[in-house]
Amino acid sequence: MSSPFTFHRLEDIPLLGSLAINQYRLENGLLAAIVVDRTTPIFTYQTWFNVGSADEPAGRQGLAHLFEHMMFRKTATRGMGEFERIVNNNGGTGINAYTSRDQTVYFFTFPNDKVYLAADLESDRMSNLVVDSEMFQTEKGAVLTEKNRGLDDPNRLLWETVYSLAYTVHNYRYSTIGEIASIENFTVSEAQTFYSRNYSPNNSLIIVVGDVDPEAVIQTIEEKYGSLKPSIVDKRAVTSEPVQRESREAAITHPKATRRMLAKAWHIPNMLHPDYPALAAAGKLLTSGKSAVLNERLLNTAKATEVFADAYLSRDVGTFELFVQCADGESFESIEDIFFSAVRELAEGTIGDDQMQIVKNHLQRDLYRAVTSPAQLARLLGDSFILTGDLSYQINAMKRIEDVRAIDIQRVVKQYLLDGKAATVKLIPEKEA
Amino acid sequence: MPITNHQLYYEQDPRVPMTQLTLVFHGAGIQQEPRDRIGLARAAAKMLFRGTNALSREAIAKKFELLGAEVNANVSETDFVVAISCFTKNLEAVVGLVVSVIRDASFPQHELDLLKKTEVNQLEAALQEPERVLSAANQFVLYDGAVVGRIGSKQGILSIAREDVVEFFSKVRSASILYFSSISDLTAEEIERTTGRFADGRRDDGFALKPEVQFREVNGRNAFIVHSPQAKNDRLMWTQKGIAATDERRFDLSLIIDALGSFEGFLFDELRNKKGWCYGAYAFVVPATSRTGRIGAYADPSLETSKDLIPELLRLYRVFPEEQGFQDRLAQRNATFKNRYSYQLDLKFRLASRVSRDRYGIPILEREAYNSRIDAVTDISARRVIDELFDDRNLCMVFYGDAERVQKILALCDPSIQSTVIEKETLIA
Repeated sequence: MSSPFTFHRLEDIPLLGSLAINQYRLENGLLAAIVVDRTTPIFTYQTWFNVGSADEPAGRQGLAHLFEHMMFRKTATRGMGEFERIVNNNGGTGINAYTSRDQTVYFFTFPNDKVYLAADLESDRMSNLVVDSEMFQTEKGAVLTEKNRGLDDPNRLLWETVYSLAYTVHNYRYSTIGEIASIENFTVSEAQTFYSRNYSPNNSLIIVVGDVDPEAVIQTIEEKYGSLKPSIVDKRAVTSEPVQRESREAAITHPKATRRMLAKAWHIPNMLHPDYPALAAAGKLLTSGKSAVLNERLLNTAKATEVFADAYLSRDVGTFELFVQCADGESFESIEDIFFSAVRELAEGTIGDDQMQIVKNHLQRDLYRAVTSPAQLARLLGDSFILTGDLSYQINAMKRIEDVRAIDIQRVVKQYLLDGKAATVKLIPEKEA
Repeated sequence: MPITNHQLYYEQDPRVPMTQLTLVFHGAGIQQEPRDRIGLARAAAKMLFRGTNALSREAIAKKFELLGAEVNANVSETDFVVAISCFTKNLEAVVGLVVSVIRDASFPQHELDLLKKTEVNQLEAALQEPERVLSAANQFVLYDGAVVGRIGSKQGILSIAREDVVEFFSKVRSASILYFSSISDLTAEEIERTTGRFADGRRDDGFALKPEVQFREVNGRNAFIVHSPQAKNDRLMWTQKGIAATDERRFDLSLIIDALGSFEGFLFDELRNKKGWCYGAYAFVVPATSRTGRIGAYADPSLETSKDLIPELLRLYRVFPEEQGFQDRLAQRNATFKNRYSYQLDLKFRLASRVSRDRYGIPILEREAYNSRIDAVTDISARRVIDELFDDRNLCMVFYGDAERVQKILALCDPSIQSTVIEKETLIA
């Protein structure tokens, strides 16, 4: 007798120790990744949609995020508030969602006997969501409040300004939540179109990590999602950004700011580029751990109260970012001098074996931390898939860190940070401005 | 059974070759700071790994990182905590270094000068985060300005001398009780051998645990407004007296609070889902320790909706037991809480439960016993607990927003509300 199931089992991907990704694909294109970890009798269930704010048309920013809110409203089979009620009654926790540039993600955690329920709830709102005018207006009110909360945050203004400078063509220049005018003007019809085009099995990924039986999970997924029809997903209109040939700079103020803050961003390639491991290692060298170069020169000397430098990878052109919250009396110029002096020494001096060992230790720790947290592991796999098409891309890069050489780090630091042009934003407290 | 000196709380995790080991110098926390040295306990923690007579701060940091270790010290109201996380293969070397630092820490003057500068800057930076300011103001008010409730004090930090740190840490090191907690791929016996290196020959004539500070009694509706004239959004956090950690009503209260203020609770539904007046609206419990806990509510209305939300929240706080939406939710909590038992089997949760059992007498229940406690929560018992505990007349109401505007709204809601305006800088003075 032939199996009633039509899913395809793809090759397992080993992670670490006994952990492995069991991969399956349904006929309609839906990909499922299941990792068994029986430490606690629970599982995390994440639904990733390959759509984010960068996929929105210019001037219509914020729809992906507003729509994320609508997914907690009602479906054709479940009334208003029923989704959350069922989740809660069945012991679901951590229920939430987020929208970023490249993806929209929904997640919760359940006791291990609730797999069927989790799949039922998520497949239902993926195919039967009801978007009506009254609810849409109410949810706009909540999103506008969320937007205003963000406006109270100097950090948010700082980074929104950085991206608006760093990108001139790509939609990464817009904030995910959108602007007040665009939020107010969205229509129900736009939301419905967005839903039917983007929330389809061929544009999504289910990740389940925890105390589950993979075969039972995929059979449930087949049952609940197998009949969903694939959609024709619009390709992202803009996927590149012209090379930045000049430095760009802005000075801004914020009424709530009490410290000077400096942010810089340089274009870098996406995660698939062979320079990714070296860029990630460069970030670790600069600000991971108390002995990292910039922590030593800025934090440990009390010139700054917060510092980070790291590669922010996106599906398209990413950015290598520096953030410094300056101590009282420190000028932007002196902070930048210290930064460039440290970076120049990295690029032109010697990166010692000790420094390389410390970077490798940090990456090893990151890997261990990720695989002992189901939610964190699921996020790592999902991010990898959305940004590269390969679930295990980041984990494999962490495992291959031994291959990264000091000379690679020096080359990328020189190429992207020293020879590249930055977008720089200096935030000055209003009382100083 | 109270925590005994050198006791180990342990869970095994074979998934990765890592060890987390935490040293808790019990009773050696912020509660031991003199009133004119606010920030001393935190300064001692931050200074601990900044040098010995043999090793500089840089050398210590590098040695740990070369061993794949993260080692930090921090403080709570009652405890001074050293947290170690490292590759298990390097545990012996890491512990050896921590032992030597605890024994030989020299607290260099130049490092203290740098730390004081950083601490003052961080206090000022904290004032730019609205949620942190609201939370700090709530603590400030509830602890009546006591040391343990302060986000920090610029004046306190600046008055700390190296001798203060040296003396404080000498009493930390010899606290009357030092206990350990660990999650590791090693066995309990192997971890015990390691913790023995901290215990062997240790003096215990230093700090001893003092009673925790109790929250202030609130009579009437007292409003405290952190004046934030240019805020784009208002925020509020209201609390009232709760119950003790071992109070038999804690199961009823947990179900009531979940029905009232969780993500799908009554408040969220009424204020956010139906009205769209705010982004967040929830009820919460400040957990009891040896101190009585508190019951609270939070919301973040927009400038336009505050005038509607504030009176409505006051009304809901009074009438919620009679509302159908609340009653339905309460009835459903039996299944919710029984299903959530699985999370109590998490390694970290089990570890924390055993510490709470020994510190505060909170029993650990097996699933069957736990379920029967949940079953004992009925509509009648919950209503009795609501009648006994919920009190909308004696509220500590903390706001973040424009003081004049909030005061006008409050005057319209209830002219008897006494309001006090707090300038943000007061929180770090």
